[in-house]
Amino acid sequence: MLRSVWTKTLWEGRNGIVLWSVALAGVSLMYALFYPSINQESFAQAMESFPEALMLAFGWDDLTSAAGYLGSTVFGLLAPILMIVFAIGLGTRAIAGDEEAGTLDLLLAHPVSRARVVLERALALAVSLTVATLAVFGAIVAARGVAELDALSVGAIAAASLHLLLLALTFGTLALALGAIGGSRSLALSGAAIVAVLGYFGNTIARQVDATRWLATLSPFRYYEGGAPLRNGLQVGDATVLLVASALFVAVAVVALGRRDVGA
Amino acid sequence: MQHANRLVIELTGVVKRYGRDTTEPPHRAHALEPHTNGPTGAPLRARALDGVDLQVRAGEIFGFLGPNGAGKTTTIRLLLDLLRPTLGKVRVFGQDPRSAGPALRRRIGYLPGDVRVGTRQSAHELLTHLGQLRGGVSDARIRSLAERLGLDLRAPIRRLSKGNRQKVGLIQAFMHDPELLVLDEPTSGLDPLLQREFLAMVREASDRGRTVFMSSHVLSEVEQVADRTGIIRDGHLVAVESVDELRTRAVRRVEVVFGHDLPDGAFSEVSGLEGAEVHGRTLRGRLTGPADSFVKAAARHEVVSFLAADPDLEELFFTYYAERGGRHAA
Ligand SMILES: Nc1ncnc2c1ncn2[C@@H]1O[C@H](COP(=O)(O)OP(=O)(O)OP(=O)(O)O)[C@@H](O)[C@H]1O
Ligand SMILES: [Mg+2]
Repeated sequence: MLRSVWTKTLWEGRNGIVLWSVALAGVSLMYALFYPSINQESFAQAMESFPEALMLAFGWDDLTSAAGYLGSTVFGLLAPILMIVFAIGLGTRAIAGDEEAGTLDLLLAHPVSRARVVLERALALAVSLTVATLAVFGAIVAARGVAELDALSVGAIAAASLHLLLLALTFGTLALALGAIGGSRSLALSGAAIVAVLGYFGNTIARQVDATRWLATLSPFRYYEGGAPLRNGLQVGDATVLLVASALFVAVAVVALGRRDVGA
Repeated sequence: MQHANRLVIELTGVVKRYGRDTTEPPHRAHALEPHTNGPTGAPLRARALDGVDLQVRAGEIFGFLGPNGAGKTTTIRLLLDLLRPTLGKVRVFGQDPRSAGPALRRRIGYLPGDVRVGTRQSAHELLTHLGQLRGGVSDARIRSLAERLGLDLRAPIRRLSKGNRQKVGLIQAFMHDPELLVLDEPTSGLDPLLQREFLAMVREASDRGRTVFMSSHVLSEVEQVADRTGIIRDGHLVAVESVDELRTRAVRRVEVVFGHDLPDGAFSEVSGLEGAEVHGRTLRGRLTGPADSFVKAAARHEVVSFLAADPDLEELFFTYYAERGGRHAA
Protein backbone atom coordinates (compact mmCIF):
# COMPACT_ATOMS: atom_id res chain seq x y z
CA MET A 1 0.00 0.00 0.00
CA LEU A 2 2.97 2.28 0.47
CA ARG A 3 4.97 1.76 -2.68
CA SER A 4 3.94 4.81 -4.61
CA VAL A 5 2.70 8.30 -4.01
CA TRP A 6 -0.84 7.63 -5.20
CA THR A 7 -1.45 4.50 -3.16
CA LYS A 8 -0.06 6.26 -0.12
CA THR A 9 -2.36 9.22 -0.76
CA LEU A 10 -5.35 6.90 -1.04
CA TRP A 11 -4.34 5.03 2.07
CA GLU A 12 -4.09 8.24 4.06
CA GLY A 13 -7.43 9.43 2.74
CA ARG A 14 -9.22 6.17 3.32
CA ASN A 15 -11.43 7.42 6.15
CA GLY A 16 -12.62 10.36 4.10
CA ILE A 17 -13.37 8.15 1.12
CA VAL A 18 -15.43 5.76 3.26
CA LEU A 19 -17.32 8.56 5.01
CA TRP A 20 -18.16 10.45 1.84
CA SER A 21 -19.18 7.25 0.07
CA VAL A 22 -21.48 6.26 2.92
CA ALA A 23 -23.00 9.74 3.02
CA LEU A 24 -23.55 9.76 -0.75
CA ALA A 25 -25.00 6.26 -0.78
CA GLY A 26 -27.27 7.16 2.15
CA VAL A 27 -28.61 10.30 0.53
CA SER A 28 -29.14 8.57 -2.80
CA LEU A 29 -30.90 5.66 -1.15
CA MET A 30 -33.14 7.94 0.87
CA TYR A 31 -34.28 9.89 -2.16
CA ALA A 32 -34.74 6.80 -4.28
CA LEU A 33 -36.90 5.14 -1.64
CA PHE A 34 -39.01 8.29 -1.39
CA TYR A 35 -39.98 8.05 -5.07
CA PRO A 36 -43.09 5.80 -4.67
CA SER A 37 -44.81 8.45 -2.56
CA ILE A 38 -44.26 11.09 -5.24
CA ASN A 39 -45.20 8.90 -8.15
CA GLN A 40 -48.91 9.38 -7.39
CA GLU A 41 -51.83 11.21 -9.01
CA SER A 42 -52.32 13.56 -6.09
CA PHE A 43 -48.74 14.75 -6.16
CA ALA A 44 -48.77 15.38 -9.88
CA GLN A 45 -51.91 17.48 -9.45
CA ALA A 46 -50.35 19.46 -6.65
CA MET A 47 -47.32 20.22 -8.79
CA GLU A 48 -49.49 21.69 -11.52
CA SER A 49 -50.37 24.62 -9.29
CA PHE A 50 -46.74 25.84 -9.21
CA PRO A 51 -45.68 28.60 -11.64
CA GLU A 52 -44.14 27.05 -14.72
CA ALA A 53 -41.07 29.31 -14.78
CA LEU A 54 -40.14 28.23 -11.31
CA MET A 55 -40.59 24.58 -12.18
CA LEU A 56 -38.35 25.02 -15.21
CA ALA A 57 -35.72 26.91 -13.29
CA PHE A 58 -35.39 24.15 -10.78
CA GLY A 59 -35.76 21.41 -13.33
CA TRP A 60 -38.91 20.18 -11.69
CA ASP A 61 -40.86 20.09 -14.92
CA ASP A 62 -41.08 16.33 -14.87
CA LEU A 63 -40.88 15.35 -11.27
CA THR A 64 -43.08 12.33 -11.44
CA SER A 65 -41.23 10.24 -14.03
CA ALA A 66 -38.42 8.13 -12.65
CA ALA A 67 -35.78 9.96 -14.73
CA GLY A 68 -37.25 13.35 -13.90
CA TYR A 69 -37.38 12.61 -10.22
CA LEU A 70 -33.84 11.30 -9.86
CA GLY A 71 -32.56 13.89 -12.29
CA SER A 72 -33.78 16.75 -10.15
CA THR A 73 -33.13 15.29 -6.72
CA VAL A 74 -30.15 12.96 -6.48
CA PHE A 75 -28.40 13.81 -9.76
CA GLY A 76 -29.78 17.34 -9.96
CA LEU A 77 -28.64 18.70 -6.67
CA LEU A 78 -27.40 16.61 -3.80
CA ALA A 79 -24.97 14.20 -5.38
CA PRO A 80 -23.26 16.89 -7.48
CA ILE A 81 -22.96 19.23 -4.50
CA LEU A 82 -21.55 16.56 -2.21
CA MET A 83 -19.26 15.18 -4.89
CA ILE A 84 -17.95 18.63 -5.79
CA VAL A 85 -17.29 19.52 -2.16
CA PHE A 86 -15.46 16.22 -1.71
CA ALA A 87 -13.50 16.73 -4.94
CA ILE A 88 -12.47 20.31 -4.17
CA GLY A 89 -11.35 19.24 -0.71
CA LEU A 90 -9.19 16.47 -2.16
CA GLY A 91 -7.85 18.64 -4.96
CA THR A 92 -6.90 21.38 -2.53
CA ARG A 93 -5.11 18.98 -0.25
CA ALA A 94 -3.27 17.29 -3.13
CA ILE A 95 -0.66 20.03 -3.54
CA ALA A 96 -1.47 23.27 -1.70
CA GLY A 97 -2.61 21.58 1.50
CA ASP A 98 0.44 19.37 1.56
CA GLU A 99 2.67 22.33 0.84
CA GLU A 100 1.20 24.54 3.57
CA ALA A 101 1.44 21.71 6.05
CA GLY A 102 5.15 21.58 5.19
CA THR A 103 5.05 17.94 4.16
CA LEU A 104 5.52 18.43 0.42
CA ASP A 105 9.06 19.58 1.16
CA LEU A 106 10.18 16.18 2.41
CA LEU A 107 8.41 14.28 -0.37
CA LEU A 108 10.00 16.37 -3.13
CA ALA A 109 13.42 15.95 -1.56
CA HIS A 110 13.08 12.27 -2.47
CA PRO A 111 13.83 10.85 -5.89
CA VAL A 112 10.39 11.63 -7.29
CA SER A 113 9.80 14.32 -9.86
CA ARG A 114 7.32 17.08 -9.27
CA ALA A 115 5.40 15.97 -12.35
CA ARG A 116 5.11 12.48 -10.95
CA VAL A 117 3.77 13.82 -7.65
CA VAL A 118 1.12 15.88 -9.45
CA LEU A 119 0.11 12.98 -11.71
CA GLU A 120 -0.07 10.46 -8.88
CA ARG A 121 -2.04 12.83 -6.70
CA ALA A 122 -4.45 13.40 -9.62
CA LEU A 123 -4.76 9.64 -9.99
CA ALA A 124 -5.56 9.27 -6.30
CA LEU A 125 -8.17 11.99 -6.71
CA ALA A 126 -9.75 10.17 -9.65
CA VAL A 127 -9.81 6.85 -7.80
CA SER A 128 -11.34 8.42 -4.66
CA LEU A 129 -14.06 10.07 -6.72
CA THR A 130 -14.71 6.83 -8.59
CA VAL A 131 -15.31 5.01 -5.33
CA ALA A 132 -17.73 7.70 -4.17
CA THR A 133 -19.52 7.62 -7.54
CA LEU A 134 -19.85 3.86 -7.34
CA ALA A 135 -21.54 4.33 -3.97
CA VAL A 136 -24.19 6.55 -5.61
CA PHE A 137 -24.57 4.18 -8.52
CA GLY A 138 -24.77 1.14 -6.26
CA ALA A 139 -27.36 2.71 -3.95
CA ILE A 140 -29.68 3.67 -6.79
CA VAL A 141 -29.36 0.36 -8.58
CA ALA A 142 -30.05 -1.40 -5.29
CA ALA A 143 -33.15 0.75 -4.65
CA ARG A 144 -34.40 0.42 -8.22
CA GLY A 145 -36.57 -2.67 -7.72
CA VAL A 146 -37.99 -1.67 -4.36
CA ALA A 147 -38.67 1.94 -5.24
CA GLU A 148 -40.58 1.44 -8.52
CA LEU A 149 -37.72 3.01 -10.45
CA ASP A 150 -37.44 0.16 -12.96
CA ALA A 151 -38.47 2.49 -15.74
CA LEU A 152 -34.80 3.50 -15.60
CA SER A 153 -32.28 1.14 -17.13
CA VAL A 154 -29.10 0.32 -15.23
CA GLY A 155 -27.25 1.69 -18.25
CA ALA A 156 -28.94 5.07 -17.84
CA ILE A 157 -28.01 5.19 -14.16
CA ALA A 158 -24.46 4.28 -15.08
CA ALA A 159 -24.35 7.04 -17.70
CA ALA A 160 -25.59 9.65 -15.23
CA SER A 161 -23.07 8.41 -12.66
CA LEU A 162 -20.24 8.71 -15.14
CA HIS A 163 -21.23 12.28 -15.90
CA LEU A 164 -21.32 12.90 -12.14
CA LEU A 165 -17.81 11.50 -11.77
CA LEU A 166 -16.46 13.65 -14.58
CA LEU A 167 -18.13 16.78 -13.19
CA ALA A 168 -16.54 16.22 -9.78
CA LEU A 169 -13.20 15.40 -11.42
CA THR A 170 -13.29 18.70 -13.29
CA PHE A 171 -13.63 20.68 -10.07
CA GLY A 172 -11.18 18.50 -8.18
CA THR A 173 -8.48 18.96 -10.80
CA LEU A 174 -9.29 22.68 -10.96
CA ALA A 175 -8.57 22.96 -7.23
CA LEU A 176 -5.42 20.91 -7.71
CA ALA A 177 -4.24 23.21 -10.50
CA LEU A 178 -4.98 26.36 -8.50
CA GLY A 179 -3.06 24.87 -5.60
CA ALA A 180 -0.13 24.01 -7.84
CA ILE A 181 -0.08 27.54 -9.22
CA GLY A 182 -0.35 29.48 -5.97
CA GLY A 183 0.63 27.04 -3.27
CA SER A 184 -2.18 28.37 -1.14
CA ARG A 185 -4.99 26.28 0.31
CA SER A 186 -7.43 29.12 0.65
CA LEU A 187 -6.83 30.27 -2.90
CA ALA A 188 -7.36 26.79 -4.33
CA LEU A 189 -10.43 26.17 -2.23
CA SER A 190 -12.15 29.50 -2.78
CA GLY A 191 -11.16 29.68 -6.44
CA ALA A 192 -12.67 26.30 -7.26
CA ALA A 193 -15.74 26.97 -5.09
CA ILE A 194 -16.41 30.28 -6.84
CA VAL A 195 -16.20 28.63 -10.25
CA ALA A 196 -18.59 25.94 -9.03
CA VAL A 197 -21.19 28.40 -7.75
CA LEU A 198 -20.92 30.66 -10.83
CA GLY A 199 -21.03 27.61 -13.08
CA TYR A 200 -24.13 26.24 -11.42
CA PHE A 201 -26.17 29.41 -11.45
CA GLY A 202 -24.75 30.49 -14.79
CA ASN A 203 -25.97 27.27 -16.32
CA THR A 204 -29.38 27.43 -14.66
CA ILE A 205 -30.06 31.08 -15.42
CA ALA A 206 -28.41 31.40 -18.82
CA ARG A 207 -30.43 28.63 -20.40
CA GLN A 208 -33.73 30.34 -19.52
CA VAL A 209 -33.16 33.02 -22.12
CA ASP A 210 -32.22 32.46 -25.74
CA ALA A 211 -29.84 35.40 -25.89
CA THR A 212 -27.65 34.11 -23.07
CA ARG A 213 -27.91 30.42 -23.80
CA TRP A 214 -24.38 30.35 -25.22
CA LEU A 215 -23.09 31.41 -21.84
CA ALA A 216 -24.12 28.09 -20.41
CA THR A 217 -21.58 26.40 -22.68
CA LEU A 218 -18.90 27.83 -20.40
CA SER A 219 -20.30 26.01 -17.40
CA PRO A 220 -19.18 22.50 -16.51
CA PHE A 221 -22.76 21.85 -15.40
CA ARG A 222 -23.94 22.25 -18.98
CA TYR A 223 -21.86 19.18 -19.90
CA TYR A 224 -23.03 17.37 -16.83
CA GLU A 225 -26.76 17.54 -17.30
CA GLY A 226 -27.36 19.42 -20.56
CA GLY A 227 -27.76 16.22 -22.56
CA ALA A 228 -29.90 14.55 -19.86
CA PRO A 229 -27.83 11.37 -19.57
CA LEU A 230 -30.39 9.81 -17.25
CA ARG A 231 -32.91 9.90 -20.11
CA ASN A 232 -30.65 9.72 -23.14
CA GLY A 233 -27.72 7.68 -21.93
CA LEU A 234 -24.05 8.62 -22.12
CA GLN A 235 -23.39 11.93 -23.91
CA VAL A 236 -20.03 11.18 -25.43
CA GLY A 237 -19.35 14.74 -26.53
CA ASP A 238 -20.24 16.28 -23.18
CA ALA A 239 -18.30 13.66 -21.24
CA THR A 240 -15.28 14.29 -23.44
CA VAL A 241 -15.42 18.01 -22.73
CA LEU A 242 -15.29 17.37 -18.98
CA LEU A 243 -12.53 14.82 -19.38
CA VAL A 244 -10.43 17.12 -21.55
CA ALA A 245 -10.95 19.99 -19.09
CA SER A 246 -9.75 17.77 -16.24
CA ALA A 247 -6.72 16.64 -18.23
CA LEU A 248 -5.97 20.26 -19.06
CA PHE A 249 -6.11 21.26 -15.40
CA VAL A 250 -3.73 18.46 -14.49
CA ALA A 251 -1.35 19.55 -17.24
CA VAL A 252 -1.47 23.12 -15.96
CA ALA A 253 -0.70 21.81 -12.47
CA VAL A 254 2.33 19.88 -13.73
CA VAL A 255 3.73 22.91 -15.52
CA ALA A 256 2.97 25.34 -12.70
CA LEU A 257 4.51 23.27 -9.94
CA GLY A 258 7.52 22.50 -12.09
CA ARG A 259 8.33 26.17 -12.53
CA ARG A 260 8.18 27.61 -9.07
CA ASP A 261 9.78 27.40 -5.64
CA VAL A 262 8.20 24.91 -3.30
CA GLY A 263 7.07 25.98 0.14
CA ALA A 264 8.20 29.54 -0.39
CA MET B 1 43.14 9.48 -5.47
CA GLN B 2 41.29 11.07 -8.30
CA HIS B 3 38.12 11.92 -6.40
CA ALA B 4 39.73 13.17 -3.22
CA ASN B 5 39.31 16.78 -4.24
CA ARG B 6 36.12 16.31 -6.16
CA LEU B 7 33.57 18.98 -5.32
CA VAL B 8 30.31 17.66 -4.01
CA ILE B 9 28.68 21.04 -3.50
CA GLU B 10 29.55 24.11 -5.50
CA LEU B 11 27.76 27.43 -5.31
CA THR B 12 28.93 30.24 -7.55
CA GLY B 13 27.60 33.75 -7.14
CA VAL B 14 24.28 32.49 -5.86
CA VAL B 15 21.62 35.10 -5.27
CA LYS B 16 18.23 34.15 -3.95
CA ARG B 17 15.30 36.46 -3.74
CA TYR B 18 11.96 35.06 -2.64
CA GLY B 19 8.76 35.82 -4.44
CA ARG B 20 7.53 35.71 -8.01
CA ASP B 21 9.95 35.55 -10.92
CA THR B 22 12.52 33.81 -8.83
CA THR B 23 14.66 32.89 -11.78
CA GLU B 24 15.62 36.12 -13.48
CA PRO B 25 17.58 35.91 -16.71
CA PRO B 26 21.17 37.13 -16.17
CA HIS B 27 20.80 40.16 -18.42
CA ARG B 28 18.38 41.61 -15.91
CA ALA B 29 20.94 41.35 -13.16
CA HIS B 30 21.30 45.10 -12.90
CA ALA B 31 17.64 45.39 -12.01
CA LEU B 32 18.25 43.21 -9.00
CA GLU B 33 20.65 45.44 -7.16
CA PRO B 34 19.55 46.15 -3.61
CA HIS B 35 17.36 49.17 -3.03
CA THR B 36 16.14 49.35 -6.59
CA ASN B 37 12.61 48.95 -7.74
CA GLY B 38 11.12 46.16 -9.78
CA PRO B 39 9.47 46.56 -13.16
CA THR B 40 6.23 47.61 -11.48
CA GLY B 41 7.98 50.25 -9.40
CA ALA B 42 7.50 48.28 -6.21
CA PRO B 43 10.65 47.76 -4.17
CA LEU B 44 12.08 44.29 -4.71
CA ARG B 45 12.16 41.83 -1.86
CA ALA B 46 15.47 41.66 0.03
CA ARG B 47 17.93 39.03 -1.00
CA ALA B 48 17.93 35.98 1.25
CA LEU B 49 21.28 35.09 -0.35
CA ASP B 50 23.42 37.77 -1.86
CA GLY B 51 26.21 36.30 -3.92
CA VAL B 52 27.29 33.16 -2.13
CA ASP B 53 30.34 31.19 -3.29
CA LEU B 54 30.84 27.93 -1.51
CA GLN B 55 32.62 24.66 -2.13
CA VAL B 56 32.36 21.42 -0.24
CA ARG B 57 34.71 18.58 -1.12
CA ALA B 58 33.96 14.87 -1.17
CA GLY B 59 34.28 13.23 2.22
CA GLU B 60 34.19 16.48 4.12
CA ILE B 61 32.03 17.39 7.08
CA PHE B 62 31.05 20.98 6.52
CA GLY B 63 29.39 23.02 9.24
CA PHE B 64 27.23 25.90 8.17
CA LEU B 65 26.83 28.47 10.90
CA GLY B 66 24.73 31.56 11.09
CA PRO B 67 22.18 33.41 13.20
CA ASN B 68 18.42 33.29 12.56
CA GLY B 69 17.42 34.40 9.11
CA ALA B 70 20.98 34.31 7.77
CA GLY B 71 20.13 32.11 4.80
CA LYS B 72 21.10 28.61 5.92
CA THR B 73 17.79 26.97 5.12
CA THR B 74 17.60 28.85 1.84
CA THR B 75 21.02 27.53 0.81
CA ILE B 76 20.10 23.98 1.76
CA ARG B 77 16.80 23.99 -0.06
CA LEU B 78 18.56 25.20 -3.22
CA LEU B 79 20.65 22.03 -3.16
CA LEU B 80 17.51 19.88 -3.32
CA ASP B 81 15.82 21.89 -6.06
CA LEU B 82 13.06 22.92 -3.69
CA LEU B 83 14.12 26.48 -4.45
CA ARG B 84 15.73 27.83 -7.60
CA PRO B 85 18.45 30.46 -7.52
CA THR B 86 17.58 33.93 -8.74
CA LEU B 87 21.10 34.27 -10.09
CA GLY B 88 24.22 32.19 -10.01
CA LYS B 89 25.05 28.52 -10.30
CA VAL B 90 24.29 25.62 -7.99
CA ARG B 91 26.01 22.28 -8.55
CA VAL B 92 25.71 19.07 -6.55
CA PHE B 93 27.99 16.24 -7.67
CA GLY B 94 28.73 18.50 -10.61
CA GLN B 95 25.09 18.57 -11.69
CA ASP B 96 22.42 21.22 -11.72
CA PRO B 97 19.78 20.09 -9.20
CA ARG B 98 17.02 21.36 -11.45
CA SER B 99 17.95 19.43 -14.55
CA ALA B 100 19.42 16.39 -12.80
CA GLY B 101 16.13 15.78 -11.00
CA PRO B 102 15.27 12.60 -9.10
CA ALA B 103 18.48 10.75 -9.99
CA LEU B 104 20.51 13.35 -8.12
CA ARG B 105 18.23 13.36 -5.08
CA ARG B 106 18.61 9.61 -4.83
CA ARG B 107 22.20 10.26 -3.71
CA ILE B 108 21.21 12.79 -1.05
CA GLY B 109 19.75 12.38 2.42
CA TYR B 110 17.90 15.48 3.56
CA LEU B 111 16.78 16.55 6.99
CA PRO B 112 14.41 19.52 6.82
CA GLY B 113 14.86 22.34 9.31
CA ASP B 114 11.36 21.71 10.52
CA VAL B 115 10.36 18.05 10.28
CA ARG B 116 6.66 18.07 9.61
CA VAL B 117 4.78 14.93 8.81
CA GLY B 118 1.25 15.47 9.98
CA THR B 119 -0.40 12.16 9.47
CA ARG B 120 -2.11 9.56 11.51
CA GLN B 121 0.18 6.84 10.28
CA SER B 122 2.90 5.34 12.39
CA ALA B 123 6.55 6.28 12.11
CA HIS B 124 7.23 2.82 10.75
CA GLU B 125 4.65 3.23 8.00
CA LEU B 126 6.08 6.58 6.95
CA LEU B 127 9.69 5.45 6.99
CA THR B 128 8.85 2.33 4.99
CA HIS B 129 7.04 4.46 2.44
CA LEU B 130 9.91 6.95 2.14
CA GLY B 131 12.33 4.05 1.83
CA GLN B 132 10.30 2.62 -1.01
CA LEU B 133 10.38 5.93 -2.83
CA ARG B 134 14.14 5.43 -2.74
CA GLY B 135 13.87 1.95 -4.14
CA GLY B 136 13.55 0.12 -0.84
CA VAL B 137 15.34 0.30 2.49
CA SER B 138 15.55 -2.84 4.59
CA ASP B 139 13.33 -3.06 7.60
CA ALA B 140 16.30 -4.11 9.70
CA ARG B 141 18.05 -0.87 8.84
CA ILE B 142 15.05 1.23 9.90
CA ARG B 143 14.69 -0.73 13.12
CA SER B 144 18.33 -0.49 14.06
CA LEU B 145 18.38 3.27 13.53
CA ALA B 146 15.18 3.64 15.55
CA GLU B 147 16.68 1.58 18.32
CA ARG B 148 19.84 3.61 18.25
CA LEU B 149 17.95 6.88 18.60
CA GLY B 150 15.36 5.44 20.94
CA LEU B 151 12.31 6.01 18.75
CA ASP B 152 9.11 4.02 19.18
CA LEU B 153 8.22 3.14 15.59
CA ARG B 154 4.62 2.27 16.38
CA ALA B 155 3.64 5.70 17.64
CA PRO B 156 1.41 7.77 15.34
CA ILE B 157 3.56 10.54 13.93
CA ARG B 158 1.10 13.29 14.65
CA ARG B 159 1.43 12.72 18.35
CA LEU B 160 5.22 12.65 18.47
CA SER B 161 7.07 15.28 20.47
CA LYS B 162 9.44 17.66 18.70
CA GLY B 163 12.48 15.57 19.57
CA ASN B 164 10.86 12.36 18.41
CA ARG B 165 9.82 13.94 15.13
CA GLN B 166 13.41 15.02 14.72
CA LYS B 167 14.43 11.39 15.14
CA VAL B 168 12.06 10.36 12.36
CA GLY B 169 13.65 13.04 10.21
CA LEU B 170 17.14 11.81 11.02
CA ILE B 171 16.28 8.19 10.29
CA GLN B 172 14.86 8.98 6.87
CA ALA B 173 17.93 11.07 6.05
CA PHE B 174 20.41 8.38 7.09
CA MET B 175 18.59 5.16 6.26
CA HIS B 176 19.68 4.75 2.66
CA ASP B 177 23.28 5.61 3.52
CA PRO B 178 23.46 8.44 0.97
CA GLU B 179 26.65 9.84 -0.50
CA LEU B 180 25.69 13.31 0.68
CA LEU B 181 23.86 14.21 3.86
CA VAL B 182 22.27 17.66 3.93
CA LEU B 183 21.08 18.36 7.44
CA ASP B 184 19.30 21.53 8.49
CA GLU B 185 19.80 22.09 12.22
CA PRO B 186 20.00 18.38 12.92
CA THR B 187 20.26 18.56 16.69
CA SER B 188 17.39 20.92 17.34
CA GLY B 189 15.03 19.31 19.79
CA LEU B 190 17.42 16.50 20.72
CA ASP B 191 18.55 16.03 24.28
CA PRO B 192 22.32 16.08 25.00
CA LEU B 193 22.64 12.30 24.95
CA LEU B 194 20.99 12.07 21.55
CA GLN B 195 23.04 14.96 20.27
CA ARG B 196 26.11 12.86 21.06
CA GLU B 197 24.60 9.86 19.33
CA PHE B 198 23.85 11.99 16.31
CA LEU B 199 27.42 13.30 16.17
CA ALA B 200 28.62 9.70 16.29
CA MET B 201 26.38 8.87 13.35
CA VAL B 202 27.84 11.77 11.41
CA ARG B 203 31.38 10.61 12.14
CA GLU B 204 30.57 7.06 11.05
CA ALA B 205 29.06 8.33 7.81
CA SER B 206 32.17 10.39 7.25
CA ASP B 207 34.38 7.36 7.92
CA ARG B 208 32.53 5.56 5.16
CA GLY B 209 33.48 8.41 2.82
CA ARG B 210 30.18 10.24 2.89
CA THR B 211 29.99 14.01 2.64
CA VAL B 212 28.05 15.91 5.29
CA PHE B 213 26.70 19.43 5.05
CA MET B 214 25.01 20.54 8.26
CA SER B 215 23.68 23.86 9.47
CA SER B 216 23.61 24.97 13.06
CA HIS B 217 23.39 27.85 15.49
CA VAL B 218 25.63 26.07 17.90
CA LEU B 219 29.36 26.33 17.39
CA SER B 220 30.22 23.64 19.92
CA GLU B 221 28.44 20.83 18.08
CA VAL B 222 29.85 21.83 14.73
CA GLU B 223 33.27 22.14 16.23
CA GLN B 224 33.09 18.56 17.48
CA VAL B 225 32.64 16.99 14.06
CA ALA B 226 33.23 19.44 11.26
CA ASP B 227 36.38 19.73 9.19
CA ARG B 228 35.49 23.16 7.90
CA THR B 229 32.82 25.70 8.64
CA GLY B 230 31.17 28.43 6.69
CA ILE B 231 29.76 31.44 8.45
CA ILE B 232 26.81 33.15 6.89
CA ARG B 233 25.12 36.33 7.90
CA ASP B 234 22.48 38.40 6.12
CA GLY B 235 22.88 36.30 3.01
CA HIS B 236 26.63 36.83 2.83
CA LEU B 237 29.13 34.08 3.43
CA VAL B 238 31.49 36.03 5.68
CA ALA B 239 34.08 33.33 6.27
CA VAL B 240 35.02 29.76 5.48
CA GLU B 241 37.53 28.41 7.94
CA SER B 242 38.86 25.22 9.36
CA VAL B 243 37.50 24.40 12.77
CA ASP B 244 40.90 25.00 14.34
CA GLU B 245 41.03 28.54 13.03
CA LEU B 246 37.53 29.14 14.22
CA ARG B 247 38.34 27.88 17.66
CA THR B 248 41.13 30.38 18.09
CA ARG B 249 38.72 33.18 17.35
CA ALA B 250 35.95 31.97 19.58
CA VAL B 251 35.11 34.06 22.59
CA ARG B 252 34.22 32.07 25.69
CA ARG B 253 32.72 33.31 28.89
CA VAL B 254 34.74 31.87 31.79
CA GLU B 255 33.95 31.74 35.46
CA VAL B 256 36.32 30.34 38.05
CA VAL B 257 35.67 30.03 41.77
CA PHE B 258 38.80 29.83 43.94
CA GLY B 259 39.37 28.46 47.41
CA HIS B 260 40.57 31.80 48.77
CA ASP B 261 40.25 35.50 48.06
CA LEU B 262 42.35 36.63 45.13
CA PRO B 263 45.12 39.16 45.44
CA ASP B 264 44.57 42.43 43.59
CA GLY B 265 45.41 42.34 39.88
CA ALA B 266 45.96 38.58 39.92
CA PHE B 267 44.60 38.10 36.41
CA SER B 268 45.23 41.46 34.83
CA GLU B 269 48.18 40.27 32.75
CA VAL B 270 46.75 37.08 31.31
CA SER B 271 46.79 37.09 27.51
CA GLY B 272 43.45 36.47 25.82
CA LEU B 273 41.40 37.35 28.88
CA GLU B 274 39.26 40.44 28.61
CA GLY B 275 36.98 42.19 31.02
CA ALA B 276 38.25 40.24 34.01
CA GLU B 277 36.26 40.99 37.14
CA VAL B 278 36.99 39.66 40.57
CA HIS B 279 34.27 39.43 43.19
CA GLY B 280 35.66 37.91 46.32
CA ARG B 281 36.68 34.41 45.28
CA THR B 282 35.00 34.47 41.88
CA LEU B 283 36.62 35.51 38.64
CA ARG B 284 34.58 36.27 35.52
CA GLY B 285 35.83 37.22 32.11
CA ARG B 286 35.84 36.58 28.38
CA LEU B 287 38.53 34.41 26.91
CA THR B 288 39.64 34.54 23.29
CA GLY B 289 42.10 32.27 21.54
CA PRO B 290 44.36 29.72 23.23
CA ALA B 291 43.39 29.08 26.85
CA ASP B 292 46.90 28.08 27.88
CA SER B 293 48.09 31.16 29.74
CA PHE B 294 44.75 31.57 31.49
CA VAL B 295 44.65 27.97 32.70
CA LYS B 296 48.22 28.21 33.94
CA ALA B 297 47.50 31.44 35.80
CA ALA B 298 44.44 29.88 37.41
CA ALA B 299 46.40 26.79 38.38
CA ARG B 300 48.57 28.84 40.72
CA HIS B 301 45.58 29.09 43.03
CA GLU B 302 43.25 26.55 44.57
CA VAL B 303 40.42 26.06 42.02
CA VAL B 304 36.99 25.09 43.39
CA SER B 305 35.08 25.20 40.13
CA PHE B 306 35.87 26.05 36.55
CA LEU B 307 33.38 26.95 33.85
CA ALA B 308 34.07 27.79 30.23
CA ALA B 309 30.77 28.39 28.45
CA ASP B 310 30.08 27.46 24.84
CA PRO B 311 31.48 30.08 22.54
CA ASP B 312 28.94 32.72 21.80
CA LEU B 313 28.14 32.58 18.14
CA GLU B 314 26.84 36.11 17.97
CA GLU B 315 30.16 37.40 19.24
CA LEU B 316 32.00 35.25 16.77
CA PHE B 317 29.88 36.63 13.97
CA PHE B 318 30.56 40.06 15.27
CA THR B 319 34.31 39.64 15.01
CA TYR B 320 33.98 38.66 11.38
CA TYR B 321 31.48 41.38 10.83
CA ALA B 322 33.65 44.08 12.33
CA GLU B 323 36.68 42.81 10.44
CA ARG B 324 35.04 43.36 7.09
CA GLY B 325 34.85 47.03 7.96
CA GLY B 326 31.09 46.90 8.10
CA ARG B 327 30.93 46.18 4.40
CA HIS B 328 27.43 44.83 4.80
CA ALA B 329 26.39 47.19 7.51
CA ALA B 330 23.67 49.78 6.85
N1 LIG C 1 9.38 31.62 1.98
C1 LIG C 1 9.99 32.79 2.18
N2 LIG C 1 9.51 33.91 1.65
C2 LIG C 1 10.12 35.09 1.84
N3 LIG C 1 11.24 35.24 2.53
C3 LIG C 1 11.77 34.17 3.10
C4 LIG C 1 11.18 32.87 2.96
N4 LIG C 1 11.94 31.99 3.63
C5 LIG C 1 12.95 32.69 4.17
N5 LIG C 1 12.86 33.99 3.85
C6 LIG C 1 13.80 35.05 4.26
O1 LIG C 1 15.07 34.70 3.79
C7 LIG C 1 16.06 34.98 4.77
C8 LIG C 1 16.87 33.72 5.07
O2 LIG C 1 16.02 32.77 5.66
P1 LIG C 1 16.50 31.30 6.02
O3 LIG C 1 15.28 30.53 6.40
O4 LIG C 1 17.32 30.78 4.92
O5 LIG C 1 17.38 31.56 7.31
P2 LIG C 1 18.09 30.52 8.30
O6 LIG C 1 19.52 30.84 8.30
O7 LIG C 1 17.71 29.13 7.94
O8 LIG C 1 17.45 30.94 9.69
P3 LIG C 1 17.09 30.03 10.97
O9 LIG C 1 18.35 29.87 11.72
O10 LIG C 1 16.11 30.88 11.72
O11 LIG C 1 16.51 28.75 10.48
C9 LIG C 1 15.31 35.52 5.98
O12 LIG C 1 15.43 36.91 5.96
C10 LIG C 1 13.90 35.12 5.74
O13 LIG C 1 13.03 36.08 6.27
MG1 LIG D 1 16.67 27.64 8.98
